[in-house]
Amino acid sequence: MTSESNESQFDQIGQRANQWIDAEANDPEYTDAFELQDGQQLCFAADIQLVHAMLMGLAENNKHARPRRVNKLMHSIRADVEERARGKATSSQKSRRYVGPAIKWGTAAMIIISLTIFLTSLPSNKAMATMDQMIAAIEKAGDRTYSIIVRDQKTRRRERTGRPPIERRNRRERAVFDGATLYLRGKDKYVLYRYTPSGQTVVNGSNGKTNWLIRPRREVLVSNDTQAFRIPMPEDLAGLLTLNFGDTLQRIRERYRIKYLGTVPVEQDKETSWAYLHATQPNRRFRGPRVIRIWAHPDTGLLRRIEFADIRLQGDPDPKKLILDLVDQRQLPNDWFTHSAHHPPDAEVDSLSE
Amino acid sequence: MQFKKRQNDAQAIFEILVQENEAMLMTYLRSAVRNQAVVEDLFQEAMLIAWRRIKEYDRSCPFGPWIRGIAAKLIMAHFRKAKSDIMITGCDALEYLSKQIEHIHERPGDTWEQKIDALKHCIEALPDNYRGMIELRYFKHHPASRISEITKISLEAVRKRLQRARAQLLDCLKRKKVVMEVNT
Repeated sequence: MTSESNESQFDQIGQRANQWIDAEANDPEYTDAFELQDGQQLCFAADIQLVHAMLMGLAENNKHARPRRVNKLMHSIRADVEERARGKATSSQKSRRYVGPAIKWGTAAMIIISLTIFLTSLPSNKAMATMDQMIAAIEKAGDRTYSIIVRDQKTRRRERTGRPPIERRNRRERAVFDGATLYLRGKDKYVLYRYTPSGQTVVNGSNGKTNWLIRPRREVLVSNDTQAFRIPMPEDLAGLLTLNFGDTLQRIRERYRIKYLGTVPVEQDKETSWAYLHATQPNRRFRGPRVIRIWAHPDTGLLRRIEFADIRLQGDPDPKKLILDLVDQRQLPNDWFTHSAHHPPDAEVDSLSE
Repeated sequence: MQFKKRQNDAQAIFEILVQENEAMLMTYLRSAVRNQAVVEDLFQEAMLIAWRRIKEYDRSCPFGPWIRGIAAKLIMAHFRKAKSDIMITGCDALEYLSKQIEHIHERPGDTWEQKIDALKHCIEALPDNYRGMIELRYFKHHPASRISEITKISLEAVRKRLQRARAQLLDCLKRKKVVMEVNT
């Protein structure tokens, strides 16, 4: 073989290896592995992948990802040790008379338990890794726009269309979640547009340092207190859902049993396959919905959709489903998270911190 | 009481081993597996298996090849389930990667970052247009399609530039003896 054809062959291998590295889940190049018989070609492809891996490691050189990875492992090890110690203590209490059969049955049971733990831990590990990836992705996420939907679980009717506005004298209309739009940047900047049943707009926002609230025909309220003008969440979600999605996901990770159920498309986007997680609260120790369903990008960890089931809204006994659905990732104007971008310049502003 | 103390000591020692080998093992897994969630999974599984089998580990031998041996078996098991996650298959490729990583591990430096410090110099030495691609792809974590949108360069051209940038980095790492030249 000439050196020229050798070179072109290596160029092809290089191209293929790089394609494999850069292909995205929905690309046609995202194909099966290819076999390389030639030793030199194999080494060349492996070297390119090694460079890619070294670059990924170098880029990850931050203070959060690595300790989190090690802590997670040590947590699993401690749980493993405790599990084994419990097993030992139980078996040592058995009467000597039953030691022989107990060993036999115990071994069989241990094999079954180990197999069960092994089999059930695989998806659970994957679920945890996906949750961690999602939490990490929020830290470096760009601008995202989510649409909020609240739907009756039985009738599937939307909250805004479900009930006529109750007109009471001297009583202000309540803005509802259904039909709201949530704009996010990073982990602590947000703008939430909600509407009252008669179509009036209420806007909550924060630029990470200042919180603000814009209500119809009233002065704009601004405060440096990060707890000010908090959004009244449905009772079932209080203490779980905040507009800092990183915190929300962390709480779900800690309180729920999460299963990874593969990659699936979502209703509005049939072309992309999203990692699908199913979270249930086994013991109801914490207030929160019984079931949460999450869809995320399998490679980037971007939160695509989250659904909270069995939510009770104030004064409504029928269970509802609250859905946050990613609708846009376009960059928002720089000043979007400041109050002045959302009211006329001559609006009265009441700064509560001063 | 004594047993519990011994267990705690063992865990503390193992945690040090994990911290010392975390970056190395992640590099090995990332070299072979594309899906990052799977990489994280395999890391946890490999280390947990190592902890359970720590009595089988010969302390006179380095920990790196032993843990990579465990990881290689898990990679092959994963390959049987999801072929598209792994590119070059077979024990030869994994063994070759393991040797390259051991070569890096033997370099001077206390940490993995120090051992691959030359990579930073190689990135700095890249031509501007290649370095920009590497920064967007790895340090800004953008996929190639997003880089194409940001830079207004076609997706094909972005991929080509990334390919050339990696090839130049590989050459540079070989010149600096971080990656071994292998003649098979």
